[in-house]
Amino acid sequence: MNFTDYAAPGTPDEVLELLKKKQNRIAAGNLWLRLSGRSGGTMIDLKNLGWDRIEETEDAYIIGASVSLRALELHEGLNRMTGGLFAKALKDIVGVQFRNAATVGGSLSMRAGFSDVLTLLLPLDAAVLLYPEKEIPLEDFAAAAPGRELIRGVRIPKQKIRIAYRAIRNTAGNVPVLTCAAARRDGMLCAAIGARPRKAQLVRAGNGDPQDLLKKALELPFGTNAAATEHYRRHLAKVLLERCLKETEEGKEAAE
Amino acid sequence: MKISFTLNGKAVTAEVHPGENLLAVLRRLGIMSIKCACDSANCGCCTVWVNGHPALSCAYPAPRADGQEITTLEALSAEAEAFAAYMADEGADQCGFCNPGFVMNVLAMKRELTEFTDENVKTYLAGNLCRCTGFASQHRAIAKWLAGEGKEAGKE
Ligand SMILES: Cc1cc2nc3c(=O)[nH]c(=O)nc-3n(C[C@H](O)[C@H](O)[C@H](O)COP(=O)(O)OP(=O)(O)OC[C@H]3O[C@@H](n4cnc5c(N)ncnc54)[C@H](O)[C@@H]3O)c2cc1C
Ligand code: FES
Ligand code: FES
Repeated sequence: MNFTDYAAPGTPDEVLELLKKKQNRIAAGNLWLRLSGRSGGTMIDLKNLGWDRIEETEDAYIIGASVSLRALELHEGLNRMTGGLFAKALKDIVGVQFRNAATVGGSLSMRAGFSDVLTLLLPLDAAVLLYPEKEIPLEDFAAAAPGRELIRGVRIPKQKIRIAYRAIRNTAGNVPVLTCAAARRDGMLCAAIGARPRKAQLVRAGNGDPQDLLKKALELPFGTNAAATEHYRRHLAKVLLERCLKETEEGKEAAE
Repeated sequence: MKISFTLNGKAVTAEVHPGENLLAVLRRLGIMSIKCACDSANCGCCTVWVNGHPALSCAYPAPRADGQEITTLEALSAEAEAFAAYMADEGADQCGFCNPGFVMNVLAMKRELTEFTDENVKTYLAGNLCRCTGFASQHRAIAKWLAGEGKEAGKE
């Protein structure tokens, strides 16, 4: 993307002001953004907003929009709560240099079909924090089309959860052709299936019945693209979900 | 616009275009170790360190470098040469185009990781693609380097 101007505002209100002009865009890790062929406008850098921290409160982790995927991958508290799942789910996204730059805010804003991040966060009951102050359940945020909202972070409630994650890539470093996360919490079972190639969607079995969950997951729409066929993806969804469910059955509840 | 940053320990000032990446600026400043290969954040050939952490300079916005500390292979030549000897012994280098970015990430890995299991090393270096060697010879070179001279590399 060939910006003609650059700004690193000191307040989110200044960002909102700059966003009023359609050509101006927020640049986070700039990994996806730079691939778009647009030109002109101001690159809005969020580096001065202090949104690059993970805060821990009594009942939640508040992750700033500018936190890198590498910081999430290595975060002790998040990994403790999920039995190391943040490390497992994010480590296959390109490479360390890439994850040092790619951000949580950029990943959520894109709502990409292939997103490991979206698939991982959906079963964790996460909420997207917007500026001006507004909190939207990630499930609703993900379902909406990408907009020009300003994401300031994401909130993950602390919880007792058993959660498992699996993804399949045609080649290492490539985007996944199917992503799957399954979780057990308070007698409830849920799963997120992504890269269908549509974006990740959550299904639930309120009665905690794995067969019911599997049925609902396989009723989601699957599709064909250059990376995989609909038939193959549906098959992968069944296999990966069964494995994730097995892991959540066998696994110990990770520490809260 | 003008930016000022530390490049390999020296203060520099550069005139940059708001839309350009750090890679272009560094090459203009005469830093020829970094290569532009994929230009889409996939291959690792353009790896530099920003404040000590490996970053892809093809995607790093040049204006963001203002005030940062940028390190390239030129500043690490003694360590790099020692490691390169192990690569040469193992035939882990053919066209050499991926080499500077790969070495930058190997040296970063040595500083960041505490356990060098095969899996940890492979995961850390997964973002450095090499179209010539097939990776096995690179990993042999790393294992031998870590067991030898590399043991002390990066220690203050
Ligand atoms: C080669 C490549 C391979 C990839 N592989 C994977 C993969 O395997 N798995 C995976 O999960 N992801 C993958 N991704 C996506 C990647 O992980 C990041 O999600 C993506 O690059 C966006 O993050 P970013 O910080 O670079 O955002 P940018 O590219 O800077 O921005 C992306 C979009 O988000 C907007 N934006 C950024 N921050 C905010 C904010 N705070 N508020 C509002 N809007 C914002 C920008 O304006 C832009 O429209 C891949 C991307 C690339 C380029
Ligand atoms: S040139 Fe930057 S990652 Fe390939
Ligand atoms: S030696 Fe040729 S790409 Fe690695």
